[in-house]
Amino acid sequence: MMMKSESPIEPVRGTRDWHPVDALRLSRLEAMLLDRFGRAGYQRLQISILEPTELHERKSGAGIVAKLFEVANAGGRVCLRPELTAGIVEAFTQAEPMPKLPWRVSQSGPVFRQEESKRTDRLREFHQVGVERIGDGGPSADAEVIWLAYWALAETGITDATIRIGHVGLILELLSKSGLPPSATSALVERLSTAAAEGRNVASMESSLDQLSGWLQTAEPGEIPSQMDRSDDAGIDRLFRTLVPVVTGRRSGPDIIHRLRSKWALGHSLATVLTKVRSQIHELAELRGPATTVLARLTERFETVAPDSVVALRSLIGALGDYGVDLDRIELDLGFGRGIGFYSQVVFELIVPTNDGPIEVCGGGRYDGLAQVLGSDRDDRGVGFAFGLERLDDLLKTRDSLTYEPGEHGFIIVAATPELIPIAAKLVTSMRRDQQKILFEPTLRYDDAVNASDPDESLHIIEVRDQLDRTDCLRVYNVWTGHESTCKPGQWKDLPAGDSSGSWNENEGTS
Amino acid sequence: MIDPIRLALPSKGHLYDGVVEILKTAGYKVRRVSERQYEATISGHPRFHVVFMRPTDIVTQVQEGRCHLGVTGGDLFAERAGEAENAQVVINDLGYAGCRLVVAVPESWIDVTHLIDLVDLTAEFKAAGRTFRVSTKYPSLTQAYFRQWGIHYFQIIDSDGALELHPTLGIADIIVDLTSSGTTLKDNRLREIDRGTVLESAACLIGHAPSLAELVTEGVSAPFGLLLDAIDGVRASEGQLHLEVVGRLAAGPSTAEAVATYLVSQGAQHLARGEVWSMDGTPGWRVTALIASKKLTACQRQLFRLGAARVVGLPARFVFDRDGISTFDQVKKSVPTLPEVRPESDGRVEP
Repeated sequence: MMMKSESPIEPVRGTRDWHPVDALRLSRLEAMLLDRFGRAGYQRLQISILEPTELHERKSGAGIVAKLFEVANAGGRVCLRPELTAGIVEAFTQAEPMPKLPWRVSQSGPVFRQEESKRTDRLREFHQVGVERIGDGGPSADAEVIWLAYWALAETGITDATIRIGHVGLILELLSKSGLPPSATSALVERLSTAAAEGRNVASMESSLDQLSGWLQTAEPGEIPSQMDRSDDAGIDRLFRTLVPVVTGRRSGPDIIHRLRSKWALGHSLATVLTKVRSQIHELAELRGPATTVLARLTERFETVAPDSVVALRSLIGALGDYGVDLDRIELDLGFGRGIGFYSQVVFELIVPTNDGPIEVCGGGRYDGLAQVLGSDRDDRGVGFAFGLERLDDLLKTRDSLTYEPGEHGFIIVAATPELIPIAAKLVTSMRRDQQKILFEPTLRYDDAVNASDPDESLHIIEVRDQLDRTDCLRVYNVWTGHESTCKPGQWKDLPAGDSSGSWNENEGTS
Repeated sequence: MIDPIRLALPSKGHLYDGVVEILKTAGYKVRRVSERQYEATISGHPRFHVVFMRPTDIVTQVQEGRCHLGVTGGDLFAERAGEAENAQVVINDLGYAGCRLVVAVPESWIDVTHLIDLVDLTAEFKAAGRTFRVSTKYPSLTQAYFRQWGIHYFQIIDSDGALELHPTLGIADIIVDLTSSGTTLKDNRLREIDRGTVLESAACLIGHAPSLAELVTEGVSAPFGLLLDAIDGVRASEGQLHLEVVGRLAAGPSTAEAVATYLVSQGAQHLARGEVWSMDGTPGWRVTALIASKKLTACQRQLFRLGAARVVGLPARFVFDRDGISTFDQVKKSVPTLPEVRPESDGRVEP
């Protein structure tokens, strides 16, 4: 009977391996983006992949926190970073001496997010490449960052992207003035943040508003609260002690009474508040379209309600125009709640049309206040973005307009006889010192190497036929042209890449 | 061909008792020498090899394909389902070991009555810089359920012991735990809340998906198909009596119809009636039906009033119905189609 072999080890769901050709393409794309960020003064920074879980719990939107990969046995609560910004801001708050402001940094690396879906094509480990500009604010800083994302994308060959700009500050401002209690507001903000991650806008808050009113109507504001409403604090305390003689758990009696009262009060005032919030949400959701049109409507409707946000958006659009961005490529969408809760003002995405519909390749925004939430008293303003590298790579593969260069080409070196292998090895070493890319295949026959040659992998096949000081000791096959020639060492240095003639011995024949 | 077909059963407790009973009724008697032996055979069904292990291990072993079928708790499977992509449910409710996974809060939290209260409360905790803690043995299910409701800011205390004391000891604020009657929760000053049922669970049969795909190719009359059919038959007959009511035609021409109508009103199914003759040639009628065992005693006097002469209830062991559920067909639909094995060949697939 045959022994059953061990079952194969399955890869971790949502991860992928990058084989050489793909890895090379990906790293070139990464390098290209980082280079363009560098030209705008953004220097590369590297931070740890392992981060304290709390770094994300304090501020990140629910969409991120729910997806954290926590690490067991790490001592304290540690997670794999789900994004780059919080770690960079943390690095800023810790940096000694304090960096000169504004601090312009770029960063690239893997991030990790749990995906609920069992779909294996949803990556749980993927790469982000982006920048942060920390320690200043205002439309001109925002414009520089948004322009940089747009320009870097154009440099990869994608010139038909749309910049979608929203302003969560406006939504937050309206909610905070609505009369909803802070906890209800934060629940709504959470809901909007989740909805935005799923591609829905501010209108998705409607269902949450319905849920809120349903809950308050069904949740027994019966006799107990109505008595409470009439009682003074001491009376309520007595009543509570009668109703709940033993308080267990980590919440105190006053905590419970306080929340019960506010819940009841909310139940009474909610109807009017909800109507007001609903109509404002509708208005915001409709403010969507080409920048110039929407800007006019925004000014007309909201300039008196939220003057700062409106002025900031107008200056931002103007500044992007100054950078040469075609205003027709900018879409304003005031119902767009991307990352609300994390971002505080301007938010944006770069959207690229594809045959399968528009896809988002880059996202970012302004997150003023983050440094403070992380316990620092340094300047807490910041703005940044990140590209999803795999997504961008997938997109570039579907387009013919690849503008980044293909892989390098090198030499394959073989030996004519086993005796010549040591001599071939010497040649290999010296060529590698000269920074040539050499694949040494001592046991491969020249004819086999020629037959199996692939222009994507190598440019020349060199056979060592004799001592290196002899004339014509090397036979050289040019993979691209199919020409064969002979020469001796010392002559290849002058050979321009991809050119079969140059100073090689003109002893060519066709193979 | 998969041989033996390895079936993993819980090694003891009510999950063990229930499945052994079902299998026995279905004609698959598990022969286990002692409780300490972790392997067994099934009399008359040599292709099945039974192994006993802990219910949580059963999910792992089926997922990894070492066992082809397994019986475990629906709660345990659901908790691991996210990472057990190769394991799938074959029968989701074997009709025993029912329980619910529920959210329970301290009784003194009179302000918390509905799951939405936790949305609000966890946000309040977060705003005050406190961590809302939830003790549970089911972190994945809890997290997924809370997420559906928009509850995001909480810390899971993953614990194996008795959770009911956690709120009192300050280990956690609330718990998410199994309950069947709710008595234990109440005894520990905890209370369920509206929309707080995370999962309804019962014992279930699970299978290794690639193995299932291979087993269905053997057809419905191979050992795997027969086992599923037998279990279907037993489940459909559970708690049912085959009822026979006879009476004389002399009692009135519409008596049989009246009896049948009454039985339908009592929830009886599969009614049939016809004429019969007694040994001495007296004409009579007979109504047969399936009825819940617990109903019969309460019905019998009314049946006599309607003209019945004799009522017999026989325990049903198998019920097969043309339109009934076929687990085999469902499994076949749910797995990728592989080439069918031809019975006359030696198991090799012809090109």
